[in-house]
Amino acid sequence: MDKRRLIAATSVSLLALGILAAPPASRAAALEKCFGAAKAGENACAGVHHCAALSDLHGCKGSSKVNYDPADFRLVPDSTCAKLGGLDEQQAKALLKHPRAVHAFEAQMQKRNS
Amino acid sequence: MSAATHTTELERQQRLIAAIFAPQMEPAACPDVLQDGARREAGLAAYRGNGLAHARNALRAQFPTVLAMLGNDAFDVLSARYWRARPPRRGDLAWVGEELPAYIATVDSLDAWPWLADCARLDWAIWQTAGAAPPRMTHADLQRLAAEDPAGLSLRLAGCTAYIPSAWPIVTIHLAHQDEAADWSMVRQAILDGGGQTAWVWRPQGDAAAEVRTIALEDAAARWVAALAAGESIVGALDAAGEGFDFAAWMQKALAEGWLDGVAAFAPR
Repeated sequence: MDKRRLIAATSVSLLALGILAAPPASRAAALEKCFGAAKAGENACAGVHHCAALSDLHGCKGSSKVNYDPADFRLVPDSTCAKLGGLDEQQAKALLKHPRAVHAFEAQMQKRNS
Repeated sequence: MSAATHTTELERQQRLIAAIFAPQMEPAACPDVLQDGARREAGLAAYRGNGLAHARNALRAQFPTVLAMLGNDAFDVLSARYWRARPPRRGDLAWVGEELPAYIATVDSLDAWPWLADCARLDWAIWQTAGAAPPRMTHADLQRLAAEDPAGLSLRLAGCTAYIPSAWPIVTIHLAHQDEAADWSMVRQAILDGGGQTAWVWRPQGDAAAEVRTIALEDAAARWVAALAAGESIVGALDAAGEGFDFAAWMQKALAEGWLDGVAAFAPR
């Protein structure tokens, strides 16, 4: 078959099949960083964007050693972080200045999700 | 923060970075550090040590195959040499490994593993793909493809894909390191055979939760993808792929997996 006809025929059949996949739910909306909402080993990428300012930096994705550490984030759909009990970046930075508050936050998140 | 203050802070941080990376044979010039003598050197040493430790941890996460091949000790030595030879140019550790593949290719002591730099390129592509934007191909793109002359159109590969051509069997090596029951004699034979592979990496539909996939492309598909990546027209890319390339099957898979960002007017280079 001629290349032009092959390309057109393929495109038409793909349109007819509705093969263009719908976006998965996890990216239907934009994603946001949600701090303090990741269990140990489930963080998206930790502290990397904040250098050593937020925490003793560990490696990166999946390397968090602590449950619900407010210095670590995971990516969640926009506007869902608060519902998970997580923090935005400003809130996380403010909390990290107070070690006792950090422990209280982690305990609260642990209780909430147990 | 005012523009003037910002500039001053920027300059201060640049001077500190310069001091951290300055040769340690002589005292580093850094007028912003208030301490002097041993206390000053101890402070700078702490910065140097922290920077290297953070970089090493990030590099371990970014280059798991290279880490597995070299082992922890050798990888740490490589990390330290790289940190000194190629100081980071961005204030983001997620990018610290950007130049490691190119650096590995320059290290004489790694000559015994000539595939290592390409394996590092594959590791880095996988790392990059994991955070890339999702594909943007739409029905309108398909309609355009059906209606317009494809000699004047090109297909744009999505950011959540990557292809890495290599003279070594990098996909076989990479996959073996993901598999606890890998057949290492098969890997060794693949290296001895000297056959190269083109790795094709993608994150299905750019889904942040999906696992990144890696396969070795058949020769025709490798030529097709290389032509698309070079900005060739669709007709030109089909010519490059040659006989044996199944365009319809590739397109169906491409849409199902999210390999394309859309259709663009072909702009000859």
